[in-house]
This record gives sequence, C-alpha cells and structure tokens, in this order.
Amino acid sequence: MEYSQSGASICKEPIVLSDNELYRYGRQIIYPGFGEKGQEKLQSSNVLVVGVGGLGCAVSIYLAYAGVGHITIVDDDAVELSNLNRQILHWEQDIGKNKTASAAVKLRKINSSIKITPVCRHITERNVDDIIKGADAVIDGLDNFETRFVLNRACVRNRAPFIYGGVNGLLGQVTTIVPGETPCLACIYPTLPEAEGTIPVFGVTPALVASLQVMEAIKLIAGFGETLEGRMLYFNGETMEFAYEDLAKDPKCSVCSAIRLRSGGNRR
Amino acid sequence: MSVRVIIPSLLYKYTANSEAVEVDGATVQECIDALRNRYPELERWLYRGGKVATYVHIGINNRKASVDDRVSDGDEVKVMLATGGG
Repeated sequence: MEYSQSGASICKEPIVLSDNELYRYGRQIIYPGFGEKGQEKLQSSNVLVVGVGGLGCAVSIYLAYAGVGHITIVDDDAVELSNLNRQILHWEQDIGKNKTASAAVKLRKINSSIKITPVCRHITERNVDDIIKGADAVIDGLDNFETRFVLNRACVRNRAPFIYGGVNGLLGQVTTIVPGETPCLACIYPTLPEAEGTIPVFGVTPALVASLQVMEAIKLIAGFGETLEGRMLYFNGETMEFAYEDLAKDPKCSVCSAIRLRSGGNRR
Repeated sequence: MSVRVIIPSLLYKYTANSEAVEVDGATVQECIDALRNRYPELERWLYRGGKVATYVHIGINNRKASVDDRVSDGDEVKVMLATGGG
C-alpha cells in the first residue's frame, strides 16, 4: 500500500468528480491545499468507524457529509433510551434496533451516493483483522479501553492509521496513531486504564471530539495540514481549556516496537 | 512516606514547570491530594466533584494502581489522563 506524507494510504482507483459532486462539495473543494484532488481521495477512501455511540454517530455523520466514499460502521449493541442524550443518529423510534442498522438508514439519507456497510459484530482478537481489512483509516468510537487495545494491536499489525478519541463528562482527548511512525496506544498507556464505571457525559463532548477525529481523518486521507501524530490533544469543557502533550514511543512496546524496527519509521 | 509524583506534561503550567514533585502520603489518594494542595490549579484537570476524577489513570513504579492503593517510601506514582468513554 502506498502512503501519503501523513501516512494515510493513497487511493488507487482514479475518480473523476461529476458536476453534481463538484457543486455539492464545492465549499470544501475551494479550501487551499485540499481541492478536487482532496475530494477525489475522500471519495475513493474506506473509513472504518468502530462503535456507533456518542463518538461514532457524530463521526459517521461528518464523514458522510464530507463525501467519504465508503464508511463501515461496527457495533453489536442495540439502541437504548439512555443513549438518546448523545447518540444523534439514534432516535426514539429506534429503541431496541441494532445501532448499525439504525445508523445506516440515516447515513444513506444524508448521502445516497456513498457506500455504507453496517457490521453488527463485537470486535474481538479473532475477528478484528477481517473487520479492519482494506480500511484507509480507523476511527475510534469505542467506550472502553479493553477493546481499544484490541483495535490498536490490529491497526499496528495491518498498518492502518488509527484515530483515538475518548470522553468523560466534559473532558475529551484525541490523537492520531500512524503505525511505524508514531507512538501507539500501548506506548501511551503501558498498562490498561481502569474501567471508569458508568461514565458521565453530555452529548456535546463526543460531538466535539468526533469533529476533531473527522478533521484528522480528512487531513490524513487528503494529505494536507498537520495532524495530531505524536501529540495528544485534551479538551476540558468545564474550564474551556485546550492542552497538548507530546507523546513518546516506548522502545520496548510489546505492540509496535517490532514494526518500527522493520519499517525504520523514526519520525517522532 | 516520601513519594515522587510524575506530572503529565499538559499540566506543567500548573506546577511551575516541575515534571515531578515529591510529596508525603500513605496512599495514592493522599499523594494526589498533597500535590493538589501545593498546586491548587491542578484541580481543574484532576478532580471532579471534589474527588480524583475517574479518568485519572495511576501507575506505581510502572504498575497499574488505584487511588486507594498504599505507597511506600521512594515509590514513583505516575498520573495520566485516560478518558475511555465514547
């Protein structure tokens, strides 16, 4: 697979934008450094969204609006009443339905020209490689670190860029992991963080973090701007502060140190 | 019990750029409280509702720990933020 400067895979199938697409996406196509080429890359990309909860709903909405050509959404949960303060693709009429089915219906109405693939499965070590196969970017919409670590390992094995996002209350975090280039999640958290119990959350926190994750995905795929590779962005909504932390690779990381040696990646 | 608390770099601005701070305490909770008492603005990020926030991830000498764990003289307590919700 060929990679752009930012590490994202470059689309192989040439796409010619129609007049309708040039008009529809015109306001982002005119962004300096993005252009028609950027839109073509988005349209020929395959983005995997793991988890269709607070983060995953907002992530997949903005991917669909941006014109990402193929969005795969993964979740095995059903919609519950307590989801409806934040999971904006799920409505009262959807309670009891699979989240992927509920979300796919609306995403297809948002953008009928893109492909939506719902996958109603729980991510495990056994199925994760099959699920992420062919993804140009993997976006984290999970609600626990245990499954995130499974996904992180698979992204490293498959060299898939992984955009981590997490929320708790009014606090959120985002970083972009490019295997072989940046620290992976196991470098950042050498021990599995404790489950936080029932996590308090307002809908606006995952909405903000999801927007940042999609911003990262667009730049990564189209190959412009600066991403959060090697940096963690923190947002504290209680005090309205943003903060950054430089991340360091763990030279003894059990997940990614071997791949770094093979690839020679040493950007950060 | 003197313990060294490693500060996440995003919070250096609240600790006068100290990367690690020596505090006294018998438990992780007491150590973090002592840190907060010395640098009160840390409460903005490390506490919610007067308690150490559930997203504060603790390690003692590179092993996973919780705020209730006891510490020994010379231990190194690492504090990180790890929000797991989605």
